[in-house]
Amino acid sequence: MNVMARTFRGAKAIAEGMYTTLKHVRRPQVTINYPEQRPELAPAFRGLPSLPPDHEGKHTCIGCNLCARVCPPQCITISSQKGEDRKIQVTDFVVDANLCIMCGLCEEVCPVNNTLDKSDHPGSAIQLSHLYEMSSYTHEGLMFHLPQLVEIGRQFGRSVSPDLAGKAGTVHYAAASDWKDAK
Amino acid sequence: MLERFLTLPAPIMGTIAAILVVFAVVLPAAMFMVLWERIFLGKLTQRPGPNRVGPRGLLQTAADALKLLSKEDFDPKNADHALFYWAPVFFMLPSFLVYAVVPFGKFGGSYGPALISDLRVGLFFIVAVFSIHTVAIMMAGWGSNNKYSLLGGIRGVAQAISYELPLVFSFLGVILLTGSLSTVRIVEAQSGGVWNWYIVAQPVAFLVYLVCSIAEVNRVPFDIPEAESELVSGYNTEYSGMRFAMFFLAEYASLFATSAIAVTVFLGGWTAPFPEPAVITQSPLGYFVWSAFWFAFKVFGLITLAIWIRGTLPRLRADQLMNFAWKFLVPVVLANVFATGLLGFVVKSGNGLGSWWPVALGTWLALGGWLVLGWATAPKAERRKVAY
Ligand code: SF4
Ligand code: SF4
Repeated sequence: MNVMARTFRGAKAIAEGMYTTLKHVRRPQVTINYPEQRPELAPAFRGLPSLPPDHEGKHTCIGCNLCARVCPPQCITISSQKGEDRKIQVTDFVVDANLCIMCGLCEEVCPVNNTLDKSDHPGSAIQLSHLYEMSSYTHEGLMFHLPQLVEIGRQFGRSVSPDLAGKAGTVHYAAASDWKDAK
Repeated sequence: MLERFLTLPAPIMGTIAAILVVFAVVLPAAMFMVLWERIFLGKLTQRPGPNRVGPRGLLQTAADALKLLSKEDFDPKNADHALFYWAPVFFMLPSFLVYAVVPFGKFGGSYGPALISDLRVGLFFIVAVFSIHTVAIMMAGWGSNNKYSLLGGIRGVAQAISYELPLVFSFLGVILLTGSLSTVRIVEAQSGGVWNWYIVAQPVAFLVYLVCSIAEVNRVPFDIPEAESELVSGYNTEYSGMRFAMFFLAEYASLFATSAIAVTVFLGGWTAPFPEPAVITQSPLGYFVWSAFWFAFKVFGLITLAIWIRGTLPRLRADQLMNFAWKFLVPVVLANVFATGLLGFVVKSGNGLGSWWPVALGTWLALGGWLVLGWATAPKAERRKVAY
């Protein structure tokens, strides 16, 4: 190509590029001013695993240990004992958020499948919640125990909103309050 | 002491006042430009830009400066200490020296505090002083004793040498038309309205100057001396704390300086884009504010253009950079000088301000014809609008 054609091509390309960037000035911002504004999470967002409660406020884990075994970084520790009725009682359930990679395998492998009749949070006993703010000054602060996990499940879990219950695919998320106090 | 100062002759007082004005304006302006660049770049990329420190993020640069001030002034063990220490100073120097000859307003009938000195070789001084940059870049690159810094320095020097040539030649047409190297006379020759500005007579030279000045201050798309992604910031890799801040600020001060030069030489300096109403020229102070406003306005526009370019164009490769300077810009600008000489002095139409209309006509026709021919000879697919 001769030099004139190349000049023309270059001038045109630059003009087009400049026009394109200028158009973006008028477009809405994609940045979220984080602490004041919050992202709208997708329904399948994978936050910290939690144990959402059933209608009686109890977790539905049967202590089968499958999630602990499938977990790639081995961050779930379950303590359990045989009860009077020879059923397994979960005494503690620890998710170590230092290690958890939010992969969701624990939720996938869990044999429990709650219905709406049993819990506002239909599905597995362990579910990935929408909690993504877990910062702590210590490693200890990132070890989540049973009561905390139930509370996180109640507040941040995927749930069916009361007035939309029964309509497939509708989920709603509760607003955040302080889950750290749950003991 | 004060008495002796107050009894100094008026021209010296004016000069001292002008120096004070330059220092009082250029440093805060450079800081403001850093902020404006970040905000405007943010807008171009659909981001808010800095918005945390102070009202609407206005104090962001001050916070950054404070942070850099409080950082350790680190000095590599095997650096060439003298070069390493003085490089930022030499880098900062030319951006301020340039203002010695740039008239940024008018104070009644004279220049007063709006001009430090009317050198008869003003443009020559600008060109000479601006080359100090190159020395500083090489000092920093060599003195750091770091291969990335050295590569950055070498690239910087190669680029500066290549682009200095068309930059200087782009002034030649204007110098021919004015018949003087003095910046004051160049500006005064452009007064009276936008049609008298040299951008009208010398559009090609203006475009070449724009490209070269961006290359001179190492900004995108000519930023290979400090390419973050390949050279870890090039010649200022080893700098931290206040020395880095000086490099950083000097880059903006020199952008400010090149824009001021472009405004002086091609965009009519402090003159308004229309004939001045007589009322304005009555009071010296009013006239000063009026003319300084137009100067600042044009400089601001050019800087915004540079930021806009930065937000758009990708970085050039080193060989493309050299090819562009030597095989395209130099011949083009030489042709421009030749045409200006020919049309301005052979096909001359009387004396005075309007005498250069053949030059304007000729260059615009050549520019237009060049692009039309380019359109006509480009492959068919290139002519159609590119789909995004
Ligand atoms: S999300 Fe993955 S890493 Fe986290 S607890 Fe479940 S299985 Fe383990
Ligand atoms: S959460 Fe599910 S998989 Fe894990 S132990 Fe309880 S029932 Fe088993």
